[in-house]
This record gives sequence, C-alpha cells and structure tokens, in this order.
Amino acid sequence: MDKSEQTQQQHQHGMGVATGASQMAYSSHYPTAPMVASGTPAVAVPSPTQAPAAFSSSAHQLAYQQAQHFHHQQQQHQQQQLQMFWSNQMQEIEQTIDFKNHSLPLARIKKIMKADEDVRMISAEAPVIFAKACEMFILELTLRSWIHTEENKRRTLQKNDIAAAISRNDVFDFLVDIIPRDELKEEGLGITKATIPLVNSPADMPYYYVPPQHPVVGPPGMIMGKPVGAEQATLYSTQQPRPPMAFMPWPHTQPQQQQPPQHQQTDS
Amino acid sequence: MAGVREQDQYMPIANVIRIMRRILPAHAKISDDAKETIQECVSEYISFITAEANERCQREQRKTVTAEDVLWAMEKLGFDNYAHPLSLYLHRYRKTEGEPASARRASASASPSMQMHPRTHPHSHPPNYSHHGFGMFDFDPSSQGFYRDDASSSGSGGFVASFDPYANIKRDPL
Repeated sequence: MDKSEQTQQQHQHGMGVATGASQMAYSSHYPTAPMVASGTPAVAVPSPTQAPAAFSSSAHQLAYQQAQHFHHQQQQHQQQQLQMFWSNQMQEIEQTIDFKNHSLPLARIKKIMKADEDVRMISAEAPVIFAKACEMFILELTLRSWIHTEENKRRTLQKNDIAAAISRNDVFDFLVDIIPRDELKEEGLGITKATIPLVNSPADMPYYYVPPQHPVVGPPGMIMGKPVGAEQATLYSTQQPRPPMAFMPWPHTQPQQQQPPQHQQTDS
Repeated sequence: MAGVREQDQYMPIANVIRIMRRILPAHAKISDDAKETIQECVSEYISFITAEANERCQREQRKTVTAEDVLWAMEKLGFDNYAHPLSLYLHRYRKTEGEPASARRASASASPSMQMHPRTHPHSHPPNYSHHGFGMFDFDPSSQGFYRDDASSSGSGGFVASFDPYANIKRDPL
C-alpha cells in the first residue's frame, strides 16, 4: 500500500508522461471489475486530485481481488456440486433395491431407440440401462442449467439456462440443434448478465444490476405441439430473429410450485 | 395420428419434471419452455447413444443392441461419468433379475416384451423372490398404460431424493 502510494506520488511529481501512465493504470483496472462478478461493489471514477486518486486505486485493487475471489469461489462451488452429484449417483445405485420400477417408461425408450431404422433388435436390458442413464442425464443437465439460473439471480429455470449449460460442455454438442442459435450466440459472449430488457452499459452494470422497475411478464412463448423434422427446422428458424424473451416474474407472484401432472400429460 | 406420434417421441413430461425437481431447490420454478427443451434433449440423447451403439453392433455383425453396446457408446461419446455407475447398475440388475443365461433366453424369445417378469424365470432361486417382493407392481407388463402407472407410483414412493446440493447455501437471492 505505502509503496504503491510512493510510486504514484513520484509519477505525479514527474512529467506529463508519468501522469498519463498512471491514468492508464486506472483505466486498465476499472472495466474488469463489473465484468467479472455482479457482486462487485461499485467504484467511483478516479479524479485528478492526489488523495482521491490514491483511494480510487486501492479501492479498485480491492474490488478486483474481491471479484476474483468471488469468481474462484463460485467455480469451486460449482465443481463441488457436480462432484457431489456423481458421488451421490454411485451411492444411490449401490443402494438400489427395486429394479422393477423405473423413473421413465421402458416402452417409450424402446420406441425412441427404434425410431432409428438401422436398429433391428434391442435386448431387454438396453432400455433398463437407458432409463437410469436418462434419469442421470436429466439430473445433470438440470443442475448445470440451475447454476446458470443462479448466476443471473433468478429463481425460474429457463430455456436459455439450458442453452448455457449445453454450450459450456463439449459433451453436450449433440444438442446444439435443439437450442436456437441466438441463445447459443448470446451465451457465447461469455459475459454473465441478467436477462433484462433494459440495456445497460458495462460500466453501469454494478449500479443497476437489479432494475428498479420489474418488466411486465408477457405470456411465455408456448409452442403448441412438437415439431417433427422439417417443421422443427422451420419453427426454430422462425424463432431466430426474435429477440431473447425477458422473463422476470414479479416478487409477489403467486408461487406455483408444481402444475398438475395429468394436465401436463394432456398438453404433451 | 400426428399428435400420438409426436407424444411417443418424448418422455412423459410428468416424469421429466419429477426428476428435475429432485435436484432443484424447493423454491425453484421451471418455465414451460425449459420443460419441453429437456424433453427434447432426452430423446436426442437416446438417439445419439443408440446410433453409436448400433454402429458397433453392425461392425461386429450382430443384430441385437445390448446393454454393453450402450455402455460402450457412452464411454466413446464422452459420457464416462455415466458408464461407470451404469456398469454397477447393470451388474446389480442382473443379480436381482436372475441368471444371465435366462436373461438372454428371455430377450431372445420375448423380443416385444418390455420388462422381464419374475414369473418368466422357471429356475429362479428363493433369494431372488425376496428381492422381488420389495416392489412388485407390474402384474401386467404388456400394458403400456400400466407402465405409466408404474412410473407414477415409483415417483411417489420408489425414489427418495437423497441429494440436496443447496443445503449449505446461505445466500438468498432475494
């Protein structure tokens, strides 16, 4: 701290070039903070006077370190969650007693497998293995998606969270056709941001991360029926030009924990 | 016709939602488009793995896609995390369901059957019956509607959520 202050004083007492260098130092630190983590405290723009400049510089460094620490902690936490997930899966399988009831219907699995015309015969054990595999797949994909939901300070898991989870792991590359390109492109930027219609500059992000006015929740883009083949491509191509839908429920919205399963089945 | 066919191409959404909720915190909500997206992802996953497993079958000039082919395909396609637990699952499944020979015979003779029933094992040992007693609900395996009921009942009592990744989270977004 003292050393850095002395260095800055020397610079200020020197020529204009030294002053420019110190200003560059400020600017290099400043844009990094808001992009790293949303929890970073906001820092004022550095002023030319001596004392506030020193304060700004130290505050910048502190903010940056906090942001780095936060980010590292976040990543570590995510890794722990996933490791715990797999460890728990193994434990769950070791304790499995009932091999009769599967969380997914075997007949449906076999039908999907048979959709490939090259597939001739399927042993009875293959759908059983797939039932367990798909259960693990749903759990893993949901967990990874929820991590993205939390990063954006939301409580509703959305399609773009799934798109983010898919884009972050190469093993899910086979799913890119299911996610519209704009969702993937948005996530490809690598910047964690809330899905809000209000456009903010990166510098202002720490100030207005939580918008004072909540956007009105429009009806979700419900797709009636499931497109097949060309229809699916057409439908998704139609979706591409559409801007990403902002969906932030009001804080006092009635909590709908779970919809009736039968109703859902009727819809699907 | 189209509706039925479309419905058959995805896992039942109720089953999918039930599984999703097992790993989400209690306050989490799931948008409708997210539910449908997961449905599509699961079908894509099955097709993706099946295609690779079937390729191996054809290379080795076999006609039946086996559980081993599925596990092999998963490892080859990067799902190593899945292959290991599932190998254990398959091993324990075979222990519970009876001898591999009878399993092979059952799969060969009853190709359209979805699930092996303990009654189809004439040489089953008494210890196996004690295992079957834990959860025998499928008295009519040929009925598709019954399978759905099985899934529902298994959801209610068969599986207990033992994994809570957010138990230690103290931070509340709101």
